[in-house]
Amino acid sequence: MADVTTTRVQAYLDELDRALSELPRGRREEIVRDIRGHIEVALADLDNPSDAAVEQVLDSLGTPAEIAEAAYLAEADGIPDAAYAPETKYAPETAYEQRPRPRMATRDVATVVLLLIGGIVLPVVGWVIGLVLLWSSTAWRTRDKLIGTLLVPGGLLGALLLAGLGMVVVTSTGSCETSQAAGAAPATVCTSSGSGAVGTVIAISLLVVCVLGPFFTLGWLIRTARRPV
Amino acid sequence: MEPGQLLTHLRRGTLEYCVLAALRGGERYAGDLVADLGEDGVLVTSEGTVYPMLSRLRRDGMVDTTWRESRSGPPRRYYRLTRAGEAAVRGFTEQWQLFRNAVDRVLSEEV
Repeated sequence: MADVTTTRVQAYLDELDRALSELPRGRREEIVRDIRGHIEVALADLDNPSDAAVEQVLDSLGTPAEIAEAAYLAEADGIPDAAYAPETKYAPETAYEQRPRPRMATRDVATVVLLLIGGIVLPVVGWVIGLVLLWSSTAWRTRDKLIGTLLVPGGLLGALLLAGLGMVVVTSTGSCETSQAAGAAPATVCTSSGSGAVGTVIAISLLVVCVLGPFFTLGWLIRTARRPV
Repeated sequence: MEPGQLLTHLRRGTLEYCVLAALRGGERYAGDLVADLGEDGVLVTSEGTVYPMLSRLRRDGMVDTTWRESRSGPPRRYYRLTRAGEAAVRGFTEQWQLFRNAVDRVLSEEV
């Protein structure tokens, strides 16, 4: 009888283990161990558990597939997201603030640095490496990864190129050059020549976006990164 | 929508707080907690599904666990709320009352 019981329970646990195969090993082992403990305690109260008793315990636990589904759901949602995002109402802010905020993983630090200045240090390639690290990381959600990618592609490289381009344009435009020599601010100088003024305003706004964008992204990614626990 | 399916949807986002709330009285053995939650068959239909949730809550710092020897049988895993867990229950209780009142109000309106 006892052997049959063990076999039945072991088959159930094996099936559960297989159903949980998509989970990281540690989590899978914890759940299987907890379920095993539940069964052992439930059967320990009975002197000589009958097959029917075993079936009843397993029945009330649910099928391995059901437990696995709950496990995958628990990974996908729940309190954690609220706890990680302090702006959410459910977030137990006070309790979390009392703990020291864990440091970001080294890899994630490298990611944000590469995204910001990688494109300058190692032209374009550096930023692309940062991008690969960003998208392969589990520290950010897709939304954050999109922000990291699109605001602003290339990081500060764009601002640098734009500034360089601006210098070329300004020095090659006659009117602006003379006024600059007179000591006036270039922006005011170029207003004298109609379409050039609009161009300057656009260029300056673009430059501001290209400088502030990457820094906003930097702050955003640091704030939203999940810290190692 | 099937009644069972509807309940499944309603449990999502609620059950974990019920698990936390069931621990407000102090430390409990997982098996007792699970049996308690599964008693009416509304919150939990299969007791085993609570364990993955407890695992997640532990990793998120909402509960702490301790293994304790038992006079009869194998060691048992006990769970208790952390301060973060207590705060989460308080926050949920507030929001739940607002939510429940809003739903009740709409449902009880004369058609």
